[in-house]
Amino acid sequence: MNKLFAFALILVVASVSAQSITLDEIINNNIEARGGLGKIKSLKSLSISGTMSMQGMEIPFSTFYATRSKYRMELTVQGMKIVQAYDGVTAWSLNPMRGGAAEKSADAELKQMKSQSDVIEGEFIEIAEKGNTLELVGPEDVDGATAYKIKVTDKEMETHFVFVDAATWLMVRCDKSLNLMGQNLDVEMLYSNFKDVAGVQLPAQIDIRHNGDELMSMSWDSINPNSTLSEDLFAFPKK
Amino acid sequence: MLKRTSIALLILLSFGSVNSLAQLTFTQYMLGALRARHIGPAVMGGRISDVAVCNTNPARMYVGAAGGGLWKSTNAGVTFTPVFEDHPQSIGALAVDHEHPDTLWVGTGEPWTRNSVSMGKGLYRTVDGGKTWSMLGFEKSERIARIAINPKNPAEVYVAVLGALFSDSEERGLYKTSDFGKTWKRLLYTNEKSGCADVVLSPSDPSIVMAAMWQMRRTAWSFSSGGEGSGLFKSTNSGESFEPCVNGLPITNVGRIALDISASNSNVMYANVESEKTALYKSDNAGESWTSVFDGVASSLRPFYFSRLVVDPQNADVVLKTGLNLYRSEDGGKTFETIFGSAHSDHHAIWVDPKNSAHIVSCTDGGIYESYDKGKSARFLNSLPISQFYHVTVDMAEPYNVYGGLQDNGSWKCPNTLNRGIGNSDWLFVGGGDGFHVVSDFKKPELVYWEYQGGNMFRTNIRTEEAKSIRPPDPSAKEKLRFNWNTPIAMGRANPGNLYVGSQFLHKSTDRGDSWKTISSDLTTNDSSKLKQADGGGLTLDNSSAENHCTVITISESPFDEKILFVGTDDGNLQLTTNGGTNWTNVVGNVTGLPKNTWVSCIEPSVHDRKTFFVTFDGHMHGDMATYLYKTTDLGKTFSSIASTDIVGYAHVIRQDPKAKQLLFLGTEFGLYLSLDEGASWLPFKNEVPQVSIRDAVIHPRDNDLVLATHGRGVIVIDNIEILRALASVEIVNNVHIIPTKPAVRRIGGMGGWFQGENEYQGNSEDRSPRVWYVLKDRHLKGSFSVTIQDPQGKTIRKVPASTRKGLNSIELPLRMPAPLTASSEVSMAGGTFTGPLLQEGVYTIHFDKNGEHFQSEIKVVTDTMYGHTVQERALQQSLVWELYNLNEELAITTKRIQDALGEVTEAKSRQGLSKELLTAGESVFAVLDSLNKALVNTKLGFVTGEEQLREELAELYGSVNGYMGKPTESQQVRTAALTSRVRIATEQAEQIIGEPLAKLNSDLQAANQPLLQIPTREQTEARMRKH
Repeated sequence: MNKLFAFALILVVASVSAQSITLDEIINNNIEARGGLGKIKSLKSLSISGTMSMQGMEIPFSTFYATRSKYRMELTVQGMKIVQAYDGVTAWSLNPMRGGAAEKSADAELKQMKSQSDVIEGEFIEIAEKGNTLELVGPEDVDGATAYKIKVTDKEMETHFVFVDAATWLMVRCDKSLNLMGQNLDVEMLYSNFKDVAGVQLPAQIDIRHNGDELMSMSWDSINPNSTLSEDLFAFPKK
Repeated sequence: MLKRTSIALLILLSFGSVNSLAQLTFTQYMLGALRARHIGPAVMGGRISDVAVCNTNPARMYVGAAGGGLWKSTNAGVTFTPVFEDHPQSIGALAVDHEHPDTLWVGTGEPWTRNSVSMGKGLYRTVDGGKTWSMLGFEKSERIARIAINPKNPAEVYVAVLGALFSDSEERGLYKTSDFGKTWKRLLYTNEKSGCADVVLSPSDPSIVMAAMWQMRRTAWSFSSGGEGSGLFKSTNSGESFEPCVNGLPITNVGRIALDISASNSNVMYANVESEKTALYKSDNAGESWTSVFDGVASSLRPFYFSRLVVDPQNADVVLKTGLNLYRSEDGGKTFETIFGSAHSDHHAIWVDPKNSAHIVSCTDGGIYESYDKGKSARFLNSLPISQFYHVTVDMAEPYNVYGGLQDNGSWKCPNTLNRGIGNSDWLFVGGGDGFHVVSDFKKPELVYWEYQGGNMFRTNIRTEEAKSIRPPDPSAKEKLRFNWNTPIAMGRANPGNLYVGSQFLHKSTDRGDSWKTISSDLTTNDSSKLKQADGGGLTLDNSSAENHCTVITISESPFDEKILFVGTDDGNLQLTTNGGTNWTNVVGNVTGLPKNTWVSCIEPSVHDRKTFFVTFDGHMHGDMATYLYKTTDLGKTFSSIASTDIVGYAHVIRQDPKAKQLLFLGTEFGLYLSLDEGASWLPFKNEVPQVSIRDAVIHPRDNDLVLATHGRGVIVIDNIEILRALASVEIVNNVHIIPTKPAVRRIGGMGGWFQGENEYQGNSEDRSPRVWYVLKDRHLKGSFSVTIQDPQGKTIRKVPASTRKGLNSIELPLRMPAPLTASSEVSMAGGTFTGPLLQEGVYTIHFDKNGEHFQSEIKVVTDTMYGHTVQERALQQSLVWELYNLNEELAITTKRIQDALGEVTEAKSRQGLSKELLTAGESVFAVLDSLNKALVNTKLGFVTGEEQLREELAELYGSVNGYMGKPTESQQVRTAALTSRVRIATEQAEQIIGEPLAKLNSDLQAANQPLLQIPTREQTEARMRKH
């Protein structure tokens, strides 16, 4: 079958379903498109190393995720390592330029880390248990193709929006407000270069935009699923 | 949109075989990477229709602009965010649910019914502070004047629908919902000419509803307020039934009425009633009877424009009234004093803090002001870019300036871009009054032509600020010139030495306005029934020149021939001459499908063909909201419509691109549209251009920017429309279609602004970073897509992340090489080496690799000539910066070897069972390595350690040479020599330690059967560092 024909069929199907699709159907389609609940549930951890590009500068990073909500990110600049981590309860950071001792994060940062940590399962799995409320806003265009916009209200009553592509059912965008050095910045995070990682589709590139302008792009150089990650990576360091 | 795409594809499929090389059709969503920028200004505000401040938290405020959208602040106006970008930008009325401040009702369409007013498209509601909106009906209402929420039941809401201004309409009157807007019931309706202008609920008993009906009508040549449909009504049963209020009030020939009810004593009501004797009336018995208490200017001036009353929530005798100024009474309306003396005139909306009556917010033609001392002093909130431009022009300065005139806010000039961003103080005031056309002289740019309403025209030298009045004189004491409110001033396109201005005649000057020659007879219909502006206003005489009619409204000189002139009039004549004005032909009769007397809003002669021109017509003042857009290719003998159903809104302006004839831009009341096929199809341009009224547009002939005059969002610029030219002239068949890219210009960035907080608006400057543009046939979602850049010698210098949108994408070409390897310090960063040297000049190759497909393009890197450095000076800088680059890398490798060795020795020292001699030897090697490391990089923890080792010195020197494109200083050269020798010594020392004491330690370890220290060679170390 001709590629364009297949594409047209997908579009026609999408346009029909645009009238009637429910939030549950979108969520199920997304979970299936990512590889299915079984595969997602079997993914226990991710170790990623990659490059952060902004304004012509490239900064290597490493991130570690473990289910349910453990997260660590390391940036290395000229040998100086900056760490941000969350073990499911405590968020903390370590910055040699702030004296070199780990510091627990204040509330705003903690909330942000929490929302960044649930990468493997995401908003659509065990919704109630996580305290999320989802609401289908409707179809909207994302970069030239239709996606479903879903409003996510978390336990803390913070809201963000995710967009599920109507053709591939992958999550292609997330709009949220980030707190950077005390300033709120509304950003769009665009997901692309999806790759199969242990049976799960994950975006190898995330572009961060503000009002449509590219602020930063993060892409993987390598990804390692299901390696054993020490709790020490995530836990606030003992003195 | 999806549907349309599917249909298009089905049509394609029905031909049986699908051409896999089908051309990509652009939709509005596929212009992704091409975005507009807003440059403000906010030095003057624009007109504001309404404000909603949350009584429970006054830091939360919503501001509804007359043409500039809805803005939200959560910090008492320090910053504002636009929260209504996907909807019509003319706001009529706001109502916040004070108990749920994220819930806001928004009625669109301004109710302050001046000649230049914009329009809306119904009622909206948000429950999440503006993140998402529901449309709740009244699509054809055009304007909504007031919304009242029942404070005891937020599901119950009353909406005063004023309705159409220029025509009869039945979608008007007072409406009510009891289910949050799902269903509506019309409660009050008097006739098809009258709308509801105000509605207020009694704060103590919301079942008492007061509403004002108003009969009004505007045409292009008249305004009338008052009639049998007007009146004040009262309901005591939540709107089930209404009784007219007649006791003590004028009952026949009533005009606009403003209302409020005291919160502290709900028996006290005030009504400002326009009539043959306009006055403020007061009732002390909840509206049963009324007494006239005041008929001064605070009550009687321009009721159609100023019609809000607010009773101080704490004191029934304190009442505030909008007007030319803001007025406040403390004696129940008997006397009024002027407050907010420093504010712009023409107040439209007020809020008084219920907990602190001294705290007042007022909204004017010139923005929003706040006072904490009952209006004795006021602060201007200068972060709202809602200025209402009528027209815009540009000059040829570098960077070019924009010029334009605004509703009630004068004429201005400003650079379109500045490295630090565009602040309010960068806008230069040129002249006062209402501003319209502002034009800089083509030969003497310090001379600027500008005007205020009614053809009052000046030439100002902006250096000396001296202004010369250059209005063409009346022909005689009996025969007066008739100038439109928005009088056209135009400079010649074939001969820019020609200056034109239009009354009912066309006037031409070739000496900068010092003298004028009238080069036409009356070009208008000169219809005496439409020349009665002196009697306008209805009940209240209003002759501001706003209703001057039968006038010239648009003028264009052909770019091919100064003798070919085009003139459009506000009463529908389309006149042209081919002999410099000796003979004129009215060709409007050749335009088919156009109602008679439709305002000619814009004439755009083509630069591509002498006989082609485009015309837009605007019928909204006849109640006709259709888009009229025509093209002729035979100098007006025949016209064809090039409007399509994709366009919404009556048309203000059309421009044809001077380089790509297929590329057209159209500004309507509801935004910007573009055509890539000379008008065969149109798509809205949405990327940062909201549904704002686009009144004028100009394409910069040198810089290729589209500059828009918006009537509510200031000046908006779309940089680099060369990208659209490329889309207009090429078929897109490849999966990755690369657009030929203009040269990348090497520049050194300027310094940013200072720490002034966020309360002043900052306009966006041009992104001057070089970009590579390409079109993707589909969004790239799965698999790999990479972009690599090769230097002129074919060496790969960088990989950059690809942008993955369907449609138009761009990626920035970094103008610098990757940063040098820099010695590692665990405690600090060396800022000087964050970036690499500027790219050498030459042609670079860009390779796109997308899931196995390869595409490539080229980009030339050049240097901006404005810096003035010679080739030799630039070569000296390049040579020194690369010397320092390599020196940084040498030090980085040396330091890495020392640090690797330190790691190995530290590990070895910690082993069990080492002999005392081995341990001592280890300690001694460690000490030497550690002391060398400490001399090379910072090792002290902390923020302000003041430590500066060799790495820091070297990085600082490299950074300073790298930050300047010309000849380095002598001291930079001397320091380079000194630091080179220190790096060489360090390298020698490191290699010496690794070569001898460490080798000795290894042989001792071997003798003791201990594992050896693993020290890679220098080459291995370097290779590993470069790999990462």
